[in-house]
Amino acid sequence: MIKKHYSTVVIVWLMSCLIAPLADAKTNVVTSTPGLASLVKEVGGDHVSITSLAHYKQDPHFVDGRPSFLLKLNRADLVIYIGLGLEIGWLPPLIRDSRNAAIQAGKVGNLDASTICGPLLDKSTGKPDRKFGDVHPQGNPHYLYSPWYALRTVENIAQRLSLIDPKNKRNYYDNLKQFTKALKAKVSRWEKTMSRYKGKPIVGYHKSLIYLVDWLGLSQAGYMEPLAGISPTPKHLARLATHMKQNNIRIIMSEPWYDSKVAQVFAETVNALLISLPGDVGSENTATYLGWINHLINQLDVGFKKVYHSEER
Amino acid sequence: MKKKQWVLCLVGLFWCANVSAETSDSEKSELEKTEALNEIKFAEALKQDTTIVSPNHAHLISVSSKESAFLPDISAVLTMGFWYFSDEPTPRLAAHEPSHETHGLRFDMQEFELAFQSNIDPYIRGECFLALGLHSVEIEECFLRTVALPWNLQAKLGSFYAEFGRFNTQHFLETQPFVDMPLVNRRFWGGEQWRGLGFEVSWITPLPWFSELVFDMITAGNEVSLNVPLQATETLADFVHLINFKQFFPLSDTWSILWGLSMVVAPNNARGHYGASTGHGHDAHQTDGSMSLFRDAQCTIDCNTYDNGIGIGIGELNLDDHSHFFGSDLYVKWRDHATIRSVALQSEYIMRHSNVGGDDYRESGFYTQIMARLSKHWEIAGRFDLIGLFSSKPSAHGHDDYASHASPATDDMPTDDMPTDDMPTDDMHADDMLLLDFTPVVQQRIGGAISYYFSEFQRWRLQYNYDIYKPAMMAHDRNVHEVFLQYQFVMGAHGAHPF
Repeated sequence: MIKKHYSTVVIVWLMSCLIAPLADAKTNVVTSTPGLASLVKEVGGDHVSITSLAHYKQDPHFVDGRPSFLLKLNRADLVIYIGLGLEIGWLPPLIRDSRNAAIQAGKVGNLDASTICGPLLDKSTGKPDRKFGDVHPQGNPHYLYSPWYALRTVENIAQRLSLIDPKNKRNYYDNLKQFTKALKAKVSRWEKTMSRYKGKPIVGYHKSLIYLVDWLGLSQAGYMEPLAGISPTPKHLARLATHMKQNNIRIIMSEPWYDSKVAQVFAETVNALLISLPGDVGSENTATYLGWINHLINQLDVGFKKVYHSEER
Repeated sequence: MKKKQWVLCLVGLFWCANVSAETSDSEKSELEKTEALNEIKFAEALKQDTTIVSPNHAHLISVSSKESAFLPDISAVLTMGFWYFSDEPTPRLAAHEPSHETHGLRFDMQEFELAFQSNIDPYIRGECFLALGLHSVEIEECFLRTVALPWNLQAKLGSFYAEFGRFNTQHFLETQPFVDMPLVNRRFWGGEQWRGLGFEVSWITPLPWFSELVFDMITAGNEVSLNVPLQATETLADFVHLINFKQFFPLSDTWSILWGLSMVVAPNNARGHYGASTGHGHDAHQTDGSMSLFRDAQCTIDCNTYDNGIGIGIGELNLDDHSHFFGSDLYVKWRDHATIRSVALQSEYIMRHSNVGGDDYRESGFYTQIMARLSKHWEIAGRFDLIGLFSSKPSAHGHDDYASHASPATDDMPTDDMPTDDMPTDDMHADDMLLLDFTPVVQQRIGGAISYYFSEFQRWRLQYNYDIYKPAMMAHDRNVHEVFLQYQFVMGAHGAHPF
């Protein structure tokens, strides 16, 4: 009797395990970063369920490849990542071991979002070499700092979602249209706000703001890191401080995963303003990509105003 | 007059130039002074640097360049260093562990690993790792791995590390915070870890949390515990059969637990006759008899290099005996998002139960280690090891419980030296004639290590161990202080390591 009871329980459990994935008709999308997840949300709406592997507080270069991520990838219809080597330290073995043939490289379920983005900045021209630090030979992967690149990425996502889930193609493209319209309207407003600071020099902590600087027409005057991925040295900072003082460079930008104490001491020494940018969508209560960029522009606007208005006075 | 004017002009010019030079010199020295002061200030600030950009061995990663398109990812990892032992090192197979013939200082290259990794086609991936020593080349692992099997399955085929516990599955020189291996792993499988030629099938179960079931069937060539030569592997029963079940619980965004259970049944060739001579040890210092590998076997039929690359003479095979292994491993990790600081606790318990002609030999041990990544550059770790737990072996008087203390009989042995074969003692039984040594020993070790990462691609490590070894046939403990200074660099495109 007991035996019979146990076998029924086991059968029900196995059936539920098999049926559960079928019951969830939504397209299951896993992204490497929260920024990508928010873009998928814009296009996919209610037709997709989305998980971001990295947390918004985390440096996307260095994420722990937890086995639970493997499970998420195992059940994914589509995996989307920034590419250009950003996630190379943790994502490839997870995809490889996910036991999910549909999301392996080259399949429809595997989208390297950088593939139709362009032009990619900071590409290695010669032979990539570690003496130049932690280089990304195929291009700088922090392209989502520019809304124009985000636009290309969303188009890419809509196209891919339509391939995986053709019956909702229309919805995806409608959502894309709406998002594009909203983004373009915002972009012109952001560009107008920031136009008065065109050509103003800034110093970054890491080489991650190159697309933002390019988009807003700012001038990148240096980095606190002597080479990408190599932590600041006193000598390099001292030279950079001299350079900043000589050229009246008053703005430093950093992301939350870089040491704010060092950046703060440095900023105080050179009498510059440290703007700590929100790392990714999700930080500072920004739930969407538009909200995130909006918050970023507001911070820049406030910061630049503070520095340059005080100068004018 | 003209001449005078010229002279005045020249003097004037010289004075002006001198003054301006003085001004620029003073400005320059002022700038240099500020720069020097700033340098000191920033050096102070950087001491408290909390940014970590190389936390989880992702530092072993790079991207293939365009020039190398279609070539596999090739990488090289060099590990070398200085070792100091206050006394003869406790028994070990040199392999990838620091070793020395006697006490004192030694400079050595631990390993030069060459790795080749690439997709072969859309269905499989090839991964090969060569371990090069100063005078040796061996295949550490070389296997294909499927990426497109249905039903949540993955298969591996080739030569690879047995999926037993946590430590044994890893290339420990690159992933673990110590220069050497846990005692229990060394004791049961030697310095090259436990690997074999065969296949593996793993399955992600449909449980709501991550859980994986792994089945390995590999050759039983491990020379320390099994010693079945490759050419003697004829039936399915001659293989190692291993089952591993692991589960992962993400308790929060920062805390997680990985727990594994492993079980093995494998043939052992302990009674395989190894020649007429039963002389022990070609190295006098390895006379504890704790590792039969060091016995200078006289090959009566053939001396071959088996799975683990070390030649052992085999006369007659006896594969009727079996060994069972059981292991449980735990990995608890805390990792802060913002600073990426991390603390990880890793612990494993392993038991070996060997049956030789109806006699049972039991031995077990564990290690517990804690590792803390303090900053971008610094990492510290501590470890405690114990073997000889719940150990027992057959004796003339029945079954000796060995527990964690050597039996009085063994304590009474007259000298530190290994008894010769013509020196029968009360405690010498059939096990002294076995090809494999299953006589339990008691050994404890405590150690700590501190590592400094220059960049993502090179590091130094300083480690101290206090090793207390009590072999079955020695009257006294052997207490050894061990100090290691190790250096490692990575070049090329090396694949990411698992969690």
